[in-house]
Amino acid sequence: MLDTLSACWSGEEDSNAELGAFDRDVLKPLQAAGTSTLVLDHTGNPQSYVRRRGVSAPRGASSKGQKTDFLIEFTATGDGAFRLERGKKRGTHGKEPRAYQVVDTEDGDLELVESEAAGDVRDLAGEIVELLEDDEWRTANSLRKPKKHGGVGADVDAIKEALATDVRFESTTGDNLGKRKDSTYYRLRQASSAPNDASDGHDAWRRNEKQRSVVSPKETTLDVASSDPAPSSPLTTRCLVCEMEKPARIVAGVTYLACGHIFVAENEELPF
Amino acid sequence: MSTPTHEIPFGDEPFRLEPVDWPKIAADGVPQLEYLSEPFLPARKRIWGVGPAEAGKSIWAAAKCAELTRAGHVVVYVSQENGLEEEARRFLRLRPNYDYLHLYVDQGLDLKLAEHQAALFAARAVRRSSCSTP
Repeated sequence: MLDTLSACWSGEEDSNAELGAFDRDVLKPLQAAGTSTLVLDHTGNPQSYVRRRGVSAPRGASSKGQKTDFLIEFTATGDGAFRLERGKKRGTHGKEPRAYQVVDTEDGDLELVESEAAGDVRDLAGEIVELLEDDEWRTANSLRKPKKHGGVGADVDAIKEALATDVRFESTTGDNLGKRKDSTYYRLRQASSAPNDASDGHDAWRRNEKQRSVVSPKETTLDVASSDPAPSSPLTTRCLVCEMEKPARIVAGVTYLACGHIFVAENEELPF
Repeated sequence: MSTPTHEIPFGDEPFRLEPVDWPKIAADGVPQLEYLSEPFLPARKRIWGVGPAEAGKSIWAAAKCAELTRAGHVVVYVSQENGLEEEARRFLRLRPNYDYLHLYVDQGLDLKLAEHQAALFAARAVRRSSCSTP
């Protein structure tokens, strides 16, 4: 890996002949010996094999584009976030865009969290629902970790937005849980929680929990009139969309299924 | 960015042409692209990563470098822009396998010079079996 071309090579970047010599004398011998070489380069004017966007094309002579097998384009997308896609690729198809977020881990390490880049639909709320099936309280910061570390691997702001806008989640402050006072914790909305009161305290939840009546799974139906007041969770019921048994919660007459489908009355799905 | 399997044909190797081995292709199929890390780092290819300043080029390359060394690939990383302070801090937090990482910072490498080209080829083949991991 050469970081960067201009710092590791004193040749004339505007000269096709000199870039040809760099390719012939350095890159080709390395390739012939079984090595991949990554040359990092600053962008400049539009070149061959790259979309004509000016600032995202390698600067200098046009032979840069011709002397590469793979060309990766980097684009900054926000605070510590950037996007990659292939501008040129021999033997492959598609740009394979990827989004990356630089993440400081709790143990002081540095990680790049990778996700599908913009343009690809991601059901972030659905992924969080699956993760919160254990009913543990978690912070948005812990949810943003890579999947292998128990998170969903996404930008923390996107996670916060999903948590704030989806009625399947509830939140409380850390002091209600004996944790960090300045942190907000999230979990799947419990059966006793008001659907649109995400600030419902943990103590209130504890009080309500004692008042729940136990209902066996076989008694759970999508007939919400007979399911209210809410039963204890988790329960399972058959999702009419997925046609499978799914964990479910019934809150204020609304049935929330783990698959993400929501029903307000028997056999009727909400339009979202 | 791979474990060396061949010597660099540098200087006195006789040049010869090898025709495509069609019977082998007929038997084995068209060769598929191999990757060190999908989808951006193919094996045995010339890869250029381009972008403006602060677009993530160096941190991405360093992270991939750490990932590849942990997978047992030898990686030579020549950094002549960010300085030792930044690179050391960054690589320590990325946790590479230091036995496979050959990091050179601000060495004055100039790949226009044949002597420096030879030094890069030699660095690629160095084994750091005596390296102690921080």
